[in-house]
Amino acid sequence: MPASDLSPLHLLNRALKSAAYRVQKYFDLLGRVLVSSVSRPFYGRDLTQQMDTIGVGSLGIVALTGLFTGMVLALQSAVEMRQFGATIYIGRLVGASAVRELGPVLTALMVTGRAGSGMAAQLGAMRITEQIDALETLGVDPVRKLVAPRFLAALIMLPMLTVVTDVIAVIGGLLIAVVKLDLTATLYMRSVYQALADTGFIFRFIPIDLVQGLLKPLVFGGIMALTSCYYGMNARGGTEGVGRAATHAVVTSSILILTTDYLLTQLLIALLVE
Amino acid sequence: MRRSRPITWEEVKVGVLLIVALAALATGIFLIGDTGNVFGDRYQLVTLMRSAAGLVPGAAVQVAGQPVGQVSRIAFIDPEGRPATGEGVAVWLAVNREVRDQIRTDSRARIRTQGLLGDRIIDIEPGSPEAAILQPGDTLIAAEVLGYAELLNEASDAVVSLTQLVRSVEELTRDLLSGEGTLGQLIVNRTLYDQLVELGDELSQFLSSVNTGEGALGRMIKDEELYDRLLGTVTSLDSVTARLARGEGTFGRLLASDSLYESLADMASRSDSLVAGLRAGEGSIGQLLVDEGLYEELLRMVVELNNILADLRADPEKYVPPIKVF
Amino acid sequence: MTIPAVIELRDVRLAYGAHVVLNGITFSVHRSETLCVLGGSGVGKSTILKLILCLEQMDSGSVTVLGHNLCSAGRSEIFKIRQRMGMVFQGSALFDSLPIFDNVAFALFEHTGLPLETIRERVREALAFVDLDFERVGEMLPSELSGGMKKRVAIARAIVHQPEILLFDEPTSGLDPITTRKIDTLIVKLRQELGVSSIVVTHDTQSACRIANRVALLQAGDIIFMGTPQQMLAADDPYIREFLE
Ligand SMILES: Nc1ncnc2c1ncn2[C@@H]1O[C@H](COP(=O)(O)OP(=O)(O)O)[C@@H](O)[C@H]1O
Ligand SMILES: [Mg+2]
Repeated sequence: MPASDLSPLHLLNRALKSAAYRVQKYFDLLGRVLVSSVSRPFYGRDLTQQMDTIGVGSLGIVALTGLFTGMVLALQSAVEMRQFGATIYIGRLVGASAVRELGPVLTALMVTGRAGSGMAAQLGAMRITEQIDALETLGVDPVRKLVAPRFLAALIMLPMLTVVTDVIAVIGGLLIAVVKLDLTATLYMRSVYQALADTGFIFRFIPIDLVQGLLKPLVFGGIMALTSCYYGMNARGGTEGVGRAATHAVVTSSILILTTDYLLTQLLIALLVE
Repeated sequence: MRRSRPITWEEVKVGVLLIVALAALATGIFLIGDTGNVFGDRYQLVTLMRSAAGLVPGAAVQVAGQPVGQVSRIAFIDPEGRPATGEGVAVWLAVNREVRDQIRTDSRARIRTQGLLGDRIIDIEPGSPEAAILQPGDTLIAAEVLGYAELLNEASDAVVSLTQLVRSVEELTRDLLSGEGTLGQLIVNRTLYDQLVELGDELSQFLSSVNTGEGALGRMIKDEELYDRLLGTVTSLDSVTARLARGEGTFGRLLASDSLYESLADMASRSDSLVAGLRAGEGSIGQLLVDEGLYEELLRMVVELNNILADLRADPEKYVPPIKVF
Repeated sequence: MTIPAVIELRDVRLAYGAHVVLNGITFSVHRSETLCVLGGSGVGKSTILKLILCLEQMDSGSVTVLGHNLCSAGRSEIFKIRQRMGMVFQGSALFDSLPIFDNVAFALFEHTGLPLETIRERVREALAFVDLDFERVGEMLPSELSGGMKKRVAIARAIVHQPEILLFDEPTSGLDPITTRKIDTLIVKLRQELGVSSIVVTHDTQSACRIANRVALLQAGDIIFMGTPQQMLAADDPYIREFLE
């Protein structure tokens, strides 16, 4: 390698170019997935299989996350609110934080850890054992056959899992409210509904909090599936490459989910609340 | 890729999850909507206000403290079309049809704060049976609420009047001290003082005789019964005060309502002009200040009083009326 | 030349960064011809097959398959051409989540509307062609098979949709001599019975001499020899001699 290749400017230039190239490939993949999702042939059985893996498979971990999040929220806020004699507001706090923020984000992160890494590893293994090449050779578009069903499954299942997380988080808060804080279940639940009703409704009866609480996991699901599949499809370098793909998939997805969460919250507040 | 298989185990699991989650979601939407009162059949009312006081669309609307709807829209009234009473904002209320017969022409809408966080809500006072029921689109009258800013405004007026009053009193005192008029003489002239000292001596002699229990007055002081009666009186006074504090009765309302304050402010400014009149020697009190004749009269009166006291000492029975506290 | 070429590579170049893998390769394969590509490991033999299947992008040059120029072809055109080709990958590349039957029947399920019974029959035939018993292995997963069996299933999968072109990437490496011989016979049988054109990548010269009509020898990004097996055996170029030893 000539000496000029190692100058900082040259290295920066190369790093930027390669980053831009990868971003372009990422969006190229997104475009192909979207086209595959709305055109024939459509791999319905792969879709249900992925919905089973991502959705049903993540139920346990998501339920646990929801339960303990709800319980912790109730406990933590109880300490503060007792000082003001405002423990009846615990339902509000648990309901609002679980539905708006923690439900979507924690569900997405847990599913990324569980299903995203699996996707990246599976596709990575298929890549390095040439199974993806074999698919292409057999006249099947791997994006259509492998990526699109995972993408769609995540898009459908993440909001559903978030509903489960939210419900269980509210129940977790209820347990603490009733058992440790001596609130009645009716009072607590009423406070939960009140919190979600207070943000307002669109189309007269759809609570804005639920809209943002379900739009977020939809986007997160897409990000998680696309990122994981991107790293899987582009895995290189044997079994080590498969491991790297899984790690990168989880790390990058999580970062993207957290940053998108911020931007999305900002956007949704601007669009819906104001 | 068994295409012949009708339904797989996976499809069953996924289907169940989807159905359960969607059912939970639908239930949630229903319960939240029920809490937020979005399902009832609604009608619109408008109320005009001077200030929306931080009210926002979506704020709760209550009738007699019960949630019945929401604020649907708040808008400024065009300055040209503004009513003479000066209301600047129109607030649209979406109210459940079920409570329609509660809201009548004599109902009043009022902005109130509620809860720990001071949320603004609209509370509607139910109407009386004689009044007509408000129709959709009708205007509901807003109760006038004295805002903090207006309160401050009026207070500053009152302060100005008070300052003027104080200044007049100051001038009056100066005149008095320089011995002008009856009151002036009263303060400057020693004669009255000497007479008063004499009166004091007489009084103390009289009292010491009372103290020894002589005569009717003496009994009055030694006797326990009087004490008990007084105690009773104090107790009933106590309860009167309590009722006053609760705002009961005419006097209580006087304490609780603004009108007293307003009358006070009014009075302050009137006293102002009164004092000015006094100084100018207008009216009988004015004369009192200016005319020396009254002083002489007063002096004579004190002498008379002196005589009466001497008389009293000689024969107390003649003066003390039958005991009656109130 | 009277017989039209089914595969034609013209001045194909490909480099990974500074590492030049193919430095201007030109050759063609005719109908019902078997070309063996010989060469040491890492010279770019697999890369040539992937270029023909359009799984890799070349830097310059052109590849024409069955009269279609792959460089200018769109994605859907490429998928159409691929359906007329079959490839046996170096590591078999069986779909490890699917049983053998589904692996072999994959292309038929994807591209034909054939009834299940017909597909079963075709899969049975293809497996019989490579000496495998449908009833025994049909429901097994790839992980339950030996390396040689996987290779043969891969061949069955590549031939089941009756392609016009077959590409083999080291079909006999790591196999015992008996299986090697069986596969060699199979390739010849495919050409003779079905008129298939094929490229067989290998580094086994004996095997190449048994099955090839022509042999290409690849070295350092160039084809250094192209001719019949007999010509190769008779050549006196020092590198060829060394390779043959
Ligand atoms: N994705 C890649 N990135 C960098 N180098 C590669 C890549 N794929 C293949 N190569 C290089 O290309 C050369 C040819 O590879 P290949 O065609 O697989 O060799 P073989 O002749 O053994 O089949 C090898 O030296 C390999 O290092
Ligand atoms: Mg190779």
